[in-house]
Amino acid sequence: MRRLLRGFHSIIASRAVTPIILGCFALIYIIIAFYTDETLVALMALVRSNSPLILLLSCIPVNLLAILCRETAQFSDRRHAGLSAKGLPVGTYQERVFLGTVQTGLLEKKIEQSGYHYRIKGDSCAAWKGISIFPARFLFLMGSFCLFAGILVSLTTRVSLRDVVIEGEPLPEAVGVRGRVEQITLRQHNGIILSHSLDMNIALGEGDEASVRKFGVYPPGRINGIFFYPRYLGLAPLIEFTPPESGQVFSSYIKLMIYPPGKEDGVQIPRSPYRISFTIIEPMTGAEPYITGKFNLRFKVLKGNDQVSEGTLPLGGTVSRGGYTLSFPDAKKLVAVDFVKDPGLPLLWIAGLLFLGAIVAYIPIRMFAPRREIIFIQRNGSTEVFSRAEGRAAKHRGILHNMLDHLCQSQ
Amino acid sequence: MPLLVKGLTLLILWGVLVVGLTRAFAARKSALTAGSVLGLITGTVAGFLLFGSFTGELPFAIIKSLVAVAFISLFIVAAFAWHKDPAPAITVFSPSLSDHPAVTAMAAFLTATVFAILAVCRLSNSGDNATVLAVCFILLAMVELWLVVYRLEPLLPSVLKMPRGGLPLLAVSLFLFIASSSPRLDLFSPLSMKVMKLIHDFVHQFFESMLIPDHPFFRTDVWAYIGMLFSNSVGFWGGLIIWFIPAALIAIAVFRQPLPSVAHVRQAATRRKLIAGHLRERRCLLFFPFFATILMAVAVYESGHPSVEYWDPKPIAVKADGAGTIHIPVKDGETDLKDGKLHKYIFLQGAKKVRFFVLYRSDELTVVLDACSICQPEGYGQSEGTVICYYCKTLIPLETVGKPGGCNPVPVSFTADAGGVHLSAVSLINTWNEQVQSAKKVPGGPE
Repeated sequence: MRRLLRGFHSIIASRAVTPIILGCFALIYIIIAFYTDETLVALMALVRSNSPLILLLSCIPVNLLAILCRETAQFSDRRHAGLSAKGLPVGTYQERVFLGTVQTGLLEKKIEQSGYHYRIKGDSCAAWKGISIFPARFLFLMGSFCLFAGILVSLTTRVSLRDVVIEGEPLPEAVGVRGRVEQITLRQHNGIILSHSLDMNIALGEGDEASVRKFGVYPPGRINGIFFYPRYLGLAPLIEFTPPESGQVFSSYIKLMIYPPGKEDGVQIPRSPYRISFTIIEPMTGAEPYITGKFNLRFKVLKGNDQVSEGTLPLGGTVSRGGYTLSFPDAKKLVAVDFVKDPGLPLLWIAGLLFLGAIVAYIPIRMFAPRREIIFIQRNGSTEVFSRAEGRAAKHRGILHNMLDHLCQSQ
Repeated sequence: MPLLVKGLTLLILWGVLVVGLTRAFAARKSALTAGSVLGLITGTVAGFLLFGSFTGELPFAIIKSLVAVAFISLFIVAAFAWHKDPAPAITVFSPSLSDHPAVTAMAAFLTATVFAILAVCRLSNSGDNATVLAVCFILLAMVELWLVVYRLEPLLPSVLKMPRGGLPLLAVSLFLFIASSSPRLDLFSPLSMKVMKLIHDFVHQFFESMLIPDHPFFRTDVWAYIGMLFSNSVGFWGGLIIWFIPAALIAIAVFRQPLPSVAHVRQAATRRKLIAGHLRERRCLLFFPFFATILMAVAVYESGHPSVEYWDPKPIAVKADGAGTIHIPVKDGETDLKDGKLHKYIFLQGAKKVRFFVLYRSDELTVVLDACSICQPEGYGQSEGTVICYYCKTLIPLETVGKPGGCNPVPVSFTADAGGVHLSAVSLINTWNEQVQSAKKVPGGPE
């Protein structure tokens, strides 16, 4: 049973498991690529709906966690071995040599001359230089675990709903959060990455218990585990339209995704052959209409496939042309928002931070002070020497060999 | 003459492959020869059967898939070569297993079969007497096999050894080299396109997954940097990285071989000599991977510079009438829309330029954009029975031009009568904007 468990553990903690599983997914990706151009989306959908594939994917975080535990234990063993020289972990040292008895005084002298720190305890001597790479490795493995756990959770549990939030209107009911959009404000923002900041002031709750919360662009705001992920800006102009053949006036706020200026969207007038398309005109001053609130619309009136009228219409203006009358008395700002429930997302963010930490720790240690270790153990009249190096291995090997040459000559 | 050059090139490549086989299975020359001869015969018969049974693009698609499978398998071989302690069952080319005559014969058989199929494909489609010449070529290849295995290979320096995974690398690189000389078999161009699409999809999914805002909120300079991920060259460089990964892994595997422990040797000079000897041996192991890398690099070059010439007329400028309709007559001077060649046109409106072409195929006219909705709009050229997308080098049979999807040119709505074809300028511009301009090149894609 113990052998079986040991075998299971060695498979689960094998460094080959994650690359093999990723290779399997790469193979599935290649096969899908023969049949569809939306390969990644198709692969994600396939994994989501396929229990064996989910199980296969879930083996990756399990494997990474097992590797993390094994390497932590190995690191701890090595540290203790360095101090006590007992029970040296097998396979973790790159060189192993047997010598005759070594004089402790000469050994200390040679180690000091080589610039290594050392500690003598009983019959053993541990010499070392530099800092272990293990903290960086720990952060990397932890980050990898969070990344794949996050991907797994996100793939299997993510729910997303796109809707628009409009100034002065309640939040969409489907979101499941009661609130009212008080104000939407776009501002110039001189950030390193973002050029604009967006504030959506939303009054949550009702009556006296209502409190106003601001939701920005990044990081996205969250209520009850639902992220507010702003995607695109739009406008809800109040449009009044009267065609020549009818006295009936169409009057309504219409949702148009026409930001940035130049982008076109339109509305089909109900129970009529008319369709009106709009674009926001970019002001000559370069000022952004969404920031200034001064909207100037270019419109085209189509009757079937024929264009019957076109022109420009400022906020508060009315245009009468060819018997058609179009008014634009008011406008509300709107934002297309993805309401996302994704418990895996925090794991992905944590993974990003851990990878950053791993890089910050790894590069200086590896470049300037990689760990190099030599252990001398005297047993039954002979000396066993173990050595390992995480970097500058050739130089370390040369120092060790010279040290051993001198120690042998003095025997 | 070109057929002779093709045949000679293939014979040289076969010679190189046989040298590689002999170095990998030096102890089993008779098994190697038997396996190779059988493979050459099988491959030749399979090749002729394939081209005899199917017409059009299907035989090429089957052979291309065969090469693709070999290329994908190479990744698995390279991964195991790179891994320090490969599982015993997988080390097909480890010294102990390669000594077995059945393994030697099987490896030689598979390699020779694929080579012969590719040779038949390259030679039997090159002219009237090509079939006879292809058979002659295979007979010559058998003679060459005997010459190389028993006469030439023993003369080569013994230090040139085959590393773990080296033989599959050499064989697949040769297959890719042969395949790249024909646009129908080339793998690098479709790989580049798939890589570009993967990068696009990955960035898009990354933005969505991490809830990163879209371009209206980004600084333009930062967005320009992100936009570089969707440029033509990213697909090429990404494809190049994938192309050379197996060769790199096998070369790294050679470097990862641990140096012998010399800590027990107490003479520094002896230690240095031992290490230097081992390093020299390791360097010699890189000969075959290096040669394979050169072949693969040449394959990339050939893929980008196909020797086939395509019919690609200069686009003729057209204008819309007062009602916004573009009329193209069936016969206009020397132009005849029904001559079976593609006829390119360009429509200009303000700063907008729309390229499209008219083609007569399957007894009817069709109008399509000179672009697809996947690739960068570099346009199409026409060769026998197909049009080729210049960006991804995908060949599209003429009978499918006018059908939407994949790398097919985007269809445009039009009407045709005895006088010519008529299409709406607005519809043409909208189709270009929707399918070409905004369907790609930005992380979020169309909004």
